[in-house]
Amino acid sequence: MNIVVCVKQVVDTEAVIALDGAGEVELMGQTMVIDPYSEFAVERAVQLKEELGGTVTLLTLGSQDCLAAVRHGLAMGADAAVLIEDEQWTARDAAQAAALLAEAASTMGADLVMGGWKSGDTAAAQVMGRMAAIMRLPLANMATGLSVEGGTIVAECEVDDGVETARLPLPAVVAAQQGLAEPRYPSVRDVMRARRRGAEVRPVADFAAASKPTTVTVVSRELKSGRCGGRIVAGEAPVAVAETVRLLAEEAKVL
Amino acid sequence: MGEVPAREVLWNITGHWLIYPCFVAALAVAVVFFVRRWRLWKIGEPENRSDRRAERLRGAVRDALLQVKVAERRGPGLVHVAMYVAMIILLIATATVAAQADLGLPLVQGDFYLYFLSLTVDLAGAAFCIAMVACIVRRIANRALDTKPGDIVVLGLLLAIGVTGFVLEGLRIAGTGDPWSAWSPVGSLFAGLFASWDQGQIELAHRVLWWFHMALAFGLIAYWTYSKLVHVLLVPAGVYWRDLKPKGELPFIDMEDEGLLSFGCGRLEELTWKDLFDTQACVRCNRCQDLCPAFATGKPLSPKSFIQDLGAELEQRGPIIYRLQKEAAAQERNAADAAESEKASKAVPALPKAEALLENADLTDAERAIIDRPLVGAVIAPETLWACTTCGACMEACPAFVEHVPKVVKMRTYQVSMESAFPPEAQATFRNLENNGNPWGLGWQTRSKWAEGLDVPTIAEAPDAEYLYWPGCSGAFDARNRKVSAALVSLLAEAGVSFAILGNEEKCCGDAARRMGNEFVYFMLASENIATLQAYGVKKIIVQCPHCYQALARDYPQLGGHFEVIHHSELLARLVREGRLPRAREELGRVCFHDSCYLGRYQDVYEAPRAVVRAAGGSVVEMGRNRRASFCCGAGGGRMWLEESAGARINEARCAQALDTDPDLLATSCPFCLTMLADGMVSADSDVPVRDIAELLAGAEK
Repeated sequence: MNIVVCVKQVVDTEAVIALDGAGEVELMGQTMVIDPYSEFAVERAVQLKEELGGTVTLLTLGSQDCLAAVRHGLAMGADAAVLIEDEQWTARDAAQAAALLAEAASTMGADLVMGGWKSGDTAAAQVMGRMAAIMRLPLANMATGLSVEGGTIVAECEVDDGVETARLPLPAVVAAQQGLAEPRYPSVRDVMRARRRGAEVRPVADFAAASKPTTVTVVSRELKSGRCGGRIVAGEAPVAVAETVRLLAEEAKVL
Repeated sequence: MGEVPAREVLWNITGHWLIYPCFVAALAVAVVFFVRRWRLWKIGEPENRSDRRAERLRGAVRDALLQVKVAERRGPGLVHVAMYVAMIILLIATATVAAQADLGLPLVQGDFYLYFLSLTVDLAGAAFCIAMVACIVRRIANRALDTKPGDIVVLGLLLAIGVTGFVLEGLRIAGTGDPWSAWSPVGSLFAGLFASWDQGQIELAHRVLWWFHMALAFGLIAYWTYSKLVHVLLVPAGVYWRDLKPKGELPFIDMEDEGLLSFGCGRLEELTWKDLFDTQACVRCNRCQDLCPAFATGKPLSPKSFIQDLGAELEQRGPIIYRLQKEAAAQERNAADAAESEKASKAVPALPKAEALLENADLTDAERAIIDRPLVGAVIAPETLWACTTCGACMEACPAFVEHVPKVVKMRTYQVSMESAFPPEAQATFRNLENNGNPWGLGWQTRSKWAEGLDVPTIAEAPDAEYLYWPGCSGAFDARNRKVSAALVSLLAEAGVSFAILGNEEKCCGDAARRMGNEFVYFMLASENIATLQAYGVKKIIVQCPHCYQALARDYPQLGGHFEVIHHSELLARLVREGRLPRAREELGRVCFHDSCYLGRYQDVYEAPRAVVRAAGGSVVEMGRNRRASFCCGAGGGRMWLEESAGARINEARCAQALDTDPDLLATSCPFCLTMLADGMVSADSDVPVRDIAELLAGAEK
């Protein structure tokens, strides 16, 4: 089975985010990591390859800097990687990203296309669904379980208040949710082996979808204000409770 | 009695020359067994343990010849010394008799005969026999000694030689009417047994028993290097080959060497020859096990069994590897000869790598099963490997200077680096260290937050500061330990010490990563820290974490980072001594002090933190396990970041020991110990506060 896994590189989830003068997220000095949701997908893909044979190919839209995330995926056990090299990748909207990835994936003979259902940074949760639509493939979204049975897959998908188990024909798109697989920690041996498997770099200009116009433009960004600490209402219990209720109703306006 | 005191040597014995061929034959057997052992440890990796000869000899005289380390343990240790002295006396006596009989030296006479050969040897022999009986009784009575049949055979053989010696002496005294028999009191007692025998019976019994005594002695010599008695040779050698590197230093792994395909020890023969030698030198004396905090709390780790298990595997695997290595070396020579004779310009084909050598070797099925089984998993259980806190109590106690901890770390290094096999909870720690340079994974940009409002400059702001203060991850991120940092900062300011911090540029020192076997992450952290420190021209560093101390002072030099590192306990003690910090602000009462392993056993700093406690107004009370014998808090060797599911909790065991001293306060000087002991006190439902010595001196006690 040939599996293509879309991998994104994101700022470390624990990082303290700052904006530069132009309102862009400051990336200088930040620790960049493989997106945690992409990582769940890579792990399950590698596990399926180990069970059933086949290949796992990583597919990334990004700049040369994103090769670090790609190398991590290769160290986890992926066989090959394709980078759609695009210096402007962060400016592209989800529709463009999905179109570019779908165009690339459709030439790769994939039985299964995987990726994170959302990414750890922008969390738009758009790309995998759009890819499925563009490629006219069925989608298992927010998958927390995935197995292959004959020519079909059985996916457990998180839905509101529960889990839905669905059978999909191949080829299909599976968008990974936390719980799909516990990502492995590559050994140094794996890292060294991965070094020998470089990524194939393809300029974004080679793709027809690159000329698709941007539909969503970010106007501005604002950081969440930090938690401003709790308030302690002092006094005897009956008084304090009454005061708390008053504050909730009048100041916080939540009652 | 004008006669010169003497006795006839070899009375009643003819043809005694026969003992020499017998002796040579017995010795030959001993040599064969010894060579078999030597071949076992020879398969290990090379390591130089022959440098600094004078220092090694001094150590050997102290701890092998004079048995200082052996005698440290009262009871069995002193019995061993007594046995050892008696054995030497008996050997001298035997050699003297031989010298008179066959070299014609007139030695067995005069005062030397009376005082030494008769009286001293008689008493030494008696002491020796009593000691043997005591040892046999102890071995039978004490189940914890894990007595094997061989132990009893050795003791029984020695006892039989001693007793037959006395019976022979008794027969000789009875048979010759020895006028000097009063100088052989024990021998005379035995002589009394034969008072009613006639001369013929005595002479016959004597002759038969003499040869039997000789047979036993030669049997013992032949059995010597096969049995545990080989320790007579191996322990002194092990003492001589002791590790003279700074304590806790691990073997350097050059991560920048692209030719390096594997690191750590995944196969027995990847340990060094000294590591393998250690498994032969161990006499199962149990001292390591008695002091091991993991063993004491029911973890699946005994340092003794760890070494013994490696030794047992070596017995099986060693001979096969020895043969394969020899064949490979012969092949290499042939290939080299062939290449030379052909004068071919082509390069000699590369030697088959060790792994390929094993894969392609022509082995029987039984041998193949031995060669293919993994070291960790088949020989050492992973739970055993990961239970070690690297506290070093085992090594400190070992009279043979066996090095347990480096073997554990080397095997962990292989497990993590090559097999990615480790307790699952370690993965988050590794990732946190990689991404944010601290084990909690908190954003690296928040590291310097602890210093907000404390008037602590960064080194960028104060490049001329005398010291760089290194709070470490605990001192910067952990709420409890931030209080220690604040206390220390106030003391440094009070004493007028010029210091600055790296701030957000500091990263975890890498100690935990390295001792958990993640050499790669250690290398990344250490090399970044060294580059940062060197960029700022840092010379002197104050640490408050003994683990940072170990990394910065002893690990970093291997990577080219040379800094003068001082622990806050040493600096504070000095500042008090110099009068730059005031003494006691209040009476603290009974302060129980807990030695951190990495400050105490690793750095040999025991008195400075106690001096600080006294200066702070505390009267130091000691637990039974203190200083070199301190009992780990349970957090060393990366155990801070791992679950402790097996057995009792180490920190709770330590807190119970502390509470036995009826303390008003428990003090320590390590952030991990502080966390572990504070948790332990909560579990013990005790309100005894746990404090760092800096907090005590800063008067943060109020």
